[in-house]
Amino acid sequence: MIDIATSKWAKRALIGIFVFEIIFLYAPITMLYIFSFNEGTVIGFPFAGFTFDWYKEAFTNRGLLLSMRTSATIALMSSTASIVVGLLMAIPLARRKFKAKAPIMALVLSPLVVPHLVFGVALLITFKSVEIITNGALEFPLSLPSVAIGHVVVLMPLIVLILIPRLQRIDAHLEEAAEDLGAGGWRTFRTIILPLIAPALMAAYVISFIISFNEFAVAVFVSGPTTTFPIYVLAQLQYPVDVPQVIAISVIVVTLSLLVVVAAEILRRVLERRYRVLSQAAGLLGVADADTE
Amino acid sequence: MKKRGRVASLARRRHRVTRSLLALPLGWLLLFFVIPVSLVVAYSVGILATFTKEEGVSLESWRLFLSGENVYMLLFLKSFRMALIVAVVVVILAYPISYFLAMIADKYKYSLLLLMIAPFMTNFFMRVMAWKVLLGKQGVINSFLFWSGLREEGNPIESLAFGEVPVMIVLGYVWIPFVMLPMFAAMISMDRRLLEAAADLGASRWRAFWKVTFPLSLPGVMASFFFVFIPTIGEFVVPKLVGGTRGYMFGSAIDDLFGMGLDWRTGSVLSLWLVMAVFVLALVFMRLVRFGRLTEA
Repeated sequence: MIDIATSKWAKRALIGIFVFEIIFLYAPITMLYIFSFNEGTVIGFPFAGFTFDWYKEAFTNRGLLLSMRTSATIALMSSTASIVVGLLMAIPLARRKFKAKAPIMALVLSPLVVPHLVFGVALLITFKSVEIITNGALEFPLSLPSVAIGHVVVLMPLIVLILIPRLQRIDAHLEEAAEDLGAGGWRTFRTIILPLIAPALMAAYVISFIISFNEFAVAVFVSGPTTTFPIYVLAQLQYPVDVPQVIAISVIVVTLSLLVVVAAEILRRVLERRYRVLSQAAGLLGVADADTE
Repeated sequence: MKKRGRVASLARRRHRVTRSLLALPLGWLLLFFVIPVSLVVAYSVGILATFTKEEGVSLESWRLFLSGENVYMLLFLKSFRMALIVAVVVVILAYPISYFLAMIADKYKYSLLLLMIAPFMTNFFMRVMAWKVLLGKQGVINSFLFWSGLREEGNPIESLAFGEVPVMIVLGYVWIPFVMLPMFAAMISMDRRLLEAAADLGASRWRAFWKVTFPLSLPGVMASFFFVFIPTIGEFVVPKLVGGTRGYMFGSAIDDLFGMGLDWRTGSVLSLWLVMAVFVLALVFMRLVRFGRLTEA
């Protein structure tokens, strides 16, 4: 049978384009790795010599480490909160019928079409207006929680988009069977729905954490005096004093993010495979097949 | 009768549960998204004001902007053009990759996809920084040229350092991995039997692509376009880093108006304008695609 999607030559051309773009994507990152070991403070050729000093200095740089801790705290708060609200939102949207579904869906997804810059500005005005309306009696402190609040709004639509397809794939009969057997709503959720969407939840959590950790446009407006990691990095890039150190730390961050992404993917696959085996076994035994794939 | 009563009570219970589940997320969105955006509207016409020097309720800031009496409208047009170029180029670059992964890469597709999107998971500034290292008067490219003697010392390729071009290169680079995903999703969910049917009916590969694959991938293409266009037209960091004065964008102006506390009211006008522009463009695109489908039929 011939392959209608491509001819042999088209396939070769596409592989060529793919390889080219992979190089285009990775070359600058590779450059970071190389220059993190360069002894000179000027980033450019010729090479001044090999050193590990920038890594050592980066790990003793208080401002840098503090900003990373701040961002990790914000990311922890916002991704945890947004997983909860995202799940609360996704379950009815995916598995229930109700009249207001379409407008609610539009509202949930609308933060996606608002540039982060505009949303950051809007939040800043909101927090400031607490002060204006109460004539300065009340002040909304701009700090870690205010950034996390903003990040939850940014993350919620993404989480809903990740969870809905997974929730829709769960056979409605499973829920009904659980209810017929006397399980309440919470118990059905905990024993049926939750295990089935666990891989998707985990993926959503990892993605949310990484996005929040790196988010700048909202954070810069509502962080007040707090310095998050991206804010620190940007300051370094604009007024370079410690650029080689920042390069060293970014190499570490890049490596860590890549490792987390790969580990999460592997784990997701293992979970999915186990789940598929289970549902196939259930199918053999004549139980309703959970996996509609 | 008894059974129907049970079903009805179950439906009622589910309805109640649905409402209580939605309360928290909807409340959150109302408080921290709908109200903030409404406050920007209020601010732009002077209903709300932080600084006492700002005059009362009027459309003056809107008039100044829309009539082009200040520079911001020109800046908007320039940024709109830049975002359009970046989005179109990036979508064109990413389309064959998505096609390759979805239709050809077979069992390797998810591993290769991960390889493509992994750079997206790294910090935005790290990727921008990587380019700052490459570009720039003393950057890797220029210093390599001096060092190898291909170009005289003190005569760097200036356009690499600052301006519109590096801003667009960097933004394109930053978005490519992200942009692939909607197109990939559209192609992977396509029914392959349609292609087989086209082949059975005697369509060539080229014709099958234009008549089947391409129209079905259009929603993905549109989503991809907006994934780049929206953040690019609101961009203010990349111009700061590699833009110089010529790379100054609409987003940079909003950032300065708020960040330096110069004029929040004008800033609000510009912010709303940005959202409106994105919204109108999205509507137009959706119309176009639907219209295209109708004429196909």
